Amino acid sequence: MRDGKPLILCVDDDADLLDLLRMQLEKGGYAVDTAFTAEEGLLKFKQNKPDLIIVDLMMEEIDAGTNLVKELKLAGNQAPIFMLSSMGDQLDVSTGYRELGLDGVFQKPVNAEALLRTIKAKLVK
Amino acid sequence: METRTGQDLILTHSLMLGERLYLFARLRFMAAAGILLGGLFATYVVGVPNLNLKALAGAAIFLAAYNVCIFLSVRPHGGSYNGKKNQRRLVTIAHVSILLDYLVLTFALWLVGGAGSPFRAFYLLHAILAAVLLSRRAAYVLAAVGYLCLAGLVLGEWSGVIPRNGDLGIRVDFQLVVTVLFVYGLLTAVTTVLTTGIVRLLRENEQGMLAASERLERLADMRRSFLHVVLHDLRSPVGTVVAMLEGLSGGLDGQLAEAQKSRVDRATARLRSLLELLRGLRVLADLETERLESLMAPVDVRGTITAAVEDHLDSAEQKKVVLKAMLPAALPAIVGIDRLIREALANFLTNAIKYTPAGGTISVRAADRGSVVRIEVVDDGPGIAAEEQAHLFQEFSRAGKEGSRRGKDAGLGLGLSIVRRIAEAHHGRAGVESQPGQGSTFFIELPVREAAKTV
Repeated sequence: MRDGKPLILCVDDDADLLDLLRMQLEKGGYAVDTAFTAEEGLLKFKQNKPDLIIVDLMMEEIDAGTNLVKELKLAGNQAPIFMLSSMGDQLDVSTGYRELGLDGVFQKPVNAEALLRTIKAKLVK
Repeated sequence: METRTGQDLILTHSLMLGERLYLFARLRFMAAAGILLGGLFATYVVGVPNLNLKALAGAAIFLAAYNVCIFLSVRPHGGSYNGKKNQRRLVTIAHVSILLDYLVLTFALWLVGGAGSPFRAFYLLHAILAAVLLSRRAAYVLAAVGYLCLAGLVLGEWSGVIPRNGDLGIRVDFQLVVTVLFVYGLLTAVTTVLTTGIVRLLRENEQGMLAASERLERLADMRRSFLHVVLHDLRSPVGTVVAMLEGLSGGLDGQLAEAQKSRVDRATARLRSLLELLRGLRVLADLETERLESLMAPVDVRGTITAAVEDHLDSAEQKKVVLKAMLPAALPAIVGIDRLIREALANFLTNAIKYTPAGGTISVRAADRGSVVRIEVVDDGPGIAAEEQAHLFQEFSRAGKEGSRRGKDAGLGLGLSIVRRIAEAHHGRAGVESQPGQGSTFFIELPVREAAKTV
């Protein structure tokens, strides 16, 4: 929580998308932390303990997204994690979604309303 | 890439050694039968006197008996290329079998007339077999062994060390001995030199083709990964722009005037169909992956269908179309690629939502049809005429060629052909059943595989 609002950490290597995501989430009434790289994401997770995390599956380095999810788990994360994915990611990745223990996957380009609705439902629980 | 050496030259070719030994083992049974039947034929039909049929039968039985051992030991390698793993074993079997063949041949030859018998020529056959199966050196050694067997028999009979059998009325005198030894020596040498020469040439050609096909393979790999990178790099910015435009249209940076919003929405729609095209191309590129079979895993069909339907609930709602899944409690597992099956269903669903008018209903059904799982997307839209159905699943066709649909609905062109290809990649099929005015049923049938049933 930050300033009484649930804190959402967004990790994506696309600066424009990250900026957009921040605006949309802030408009939806959330506080937002952004990170450019998996490393930065992990650091911000440890510093700020977000209530929810959104990770881009396919960042520049292969598997950066899935590795981050694994590392977050190792770091004791309890917050729900959603992943952003473009259709056209590796064929064998989708099988890993459930094993990774993700709370959901959003297909890019993400529909803002659907995103906010899902996040709201998740954070109420 | 590892470079190939002369050593591999033989190995490449000998990848088929198991297969060939298996073939020869089957032929050898016929040879055993041939010895037996030939003996009977010679005695009772041709009237050749003094043939020792019992001894011939013994030779045939001995031949058949050791061939059973050879047959059983090469059979596991008969159907496929055995690779380097069993190479030594197979080479040993080849050597042993040819040596045993010489033994039987010499014995049988002795029974049917020895030095004077025309069956001498069978030694040459084995020289050829050795040249085809084994290395050049082994071919020479085995040809020499064969020649020595013949020479031993001929000289033995001439000198009286070996008694004569099956009198064909041919005298074994000095002239015959010299003639046989000379002619067969020459024949064996020439045969071996020629055959090993030809085999060497063939192996070299094979090697050249192998190298060429590897080069092509590498090029195809490069092209594939290039395509992946290009498609990814095209998709990323387009996706981001779509998201930004949608934010803009949704009033993220302040409300737009109606005309502005309309223009932005139209731009977004155009980019979205471009995204669809890129997505389709990516799936086509994926379908060309050679690793496809190795990526296949048991798929929870019910979960995959549910996920695909959930993905489309929003767009159905926006279009005021009811989208519902009616699935049996359990479906057999199939082996496949979850993402591709989901992609196929997404294609069906996107089309159904696109063509079903507001107030319509789309239901997704699935059924266990024994050998296949059939998934259907049923809509009560306008339906499709029979003559159009035939082209639907081909590349770059589009339902309804009339101008009104162009532009906005572009993208169907690749869509259904992709579904067909996905079905084919799973050894299944896709199709449509429809009548104008009666709605359409698009289906995909995916085989239930034995391996999957136990999962």
